[in-house]
Amino acid sequence: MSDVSITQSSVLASTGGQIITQFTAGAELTAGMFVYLDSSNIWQKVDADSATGTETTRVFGVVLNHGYTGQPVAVNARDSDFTIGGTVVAGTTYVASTNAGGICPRADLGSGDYVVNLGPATTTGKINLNPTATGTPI
Amino acid sequence: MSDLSITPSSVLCSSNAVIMVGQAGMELVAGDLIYLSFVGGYWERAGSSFLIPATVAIGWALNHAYAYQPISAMLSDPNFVPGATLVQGETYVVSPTEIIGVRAGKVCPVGDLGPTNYRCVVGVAISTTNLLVKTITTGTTG
Repeated sequence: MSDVSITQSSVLASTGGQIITQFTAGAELTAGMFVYLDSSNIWQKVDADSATGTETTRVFGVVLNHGYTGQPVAVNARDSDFTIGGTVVAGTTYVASTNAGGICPRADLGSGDYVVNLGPATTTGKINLNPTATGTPI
Repeated sequence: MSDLSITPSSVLCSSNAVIMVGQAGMELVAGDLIYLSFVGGYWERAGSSFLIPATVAIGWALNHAYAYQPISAMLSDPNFVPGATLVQGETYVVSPTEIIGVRAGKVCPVGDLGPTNYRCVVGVAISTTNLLVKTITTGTTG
């Protein structure tokens, strides 16, 4: 399998989404990217290859719009009815992939990869977004 | 003169900016001039060939959003970088430019407005790169 292919214009929080809006992008970020808040309160892409940004203490979320470096972005931190903007498999748990900012099924990760759960898909288009990190590699 | 040519990736507000976060009613890009529409409460591109009442909030889009996604609208900033080349001392306003009959969200010098265009001030250039932003919607033409 591979990363979920995101259509940026289709990424939408539900009315119950818990959205963080006061921080800026540390790189160009697009709608649907999986991100974490670094120690300078700047959003960075999550990468399952890296021990940095996959710690249990991080705040994680999915970008809801598009910002270049230094611009504000809105990040959905928790949303039980989140439209991810791509096709997912109901019942499958999605995680940060080894492509920075990308999302893939948990089963796609390999030895040495860090697990940051995004949440399980509830339908073919929605995820119960509740990001958590294990802080340890597989 | 003509509308400012804005590079979206270069649009940056200062730490003293006043920012509202709302919902886009259409695709918006960084550097667009936007207003809070009284229909639905969405942010949409502004244009001075249409009436924007004096009570309506107007601002600069700070990022890129598609319809119904969150958008950050900057309402004032003492040191805003709009991502375009400015004329120091010039007053900038909402341009009357339209794209196929739809407001384009562009910026132009105040001298470019015609007598039927509505006056919405969006900043004064304090250098060739930075604007003092205090948005003012007058609701009147010149």
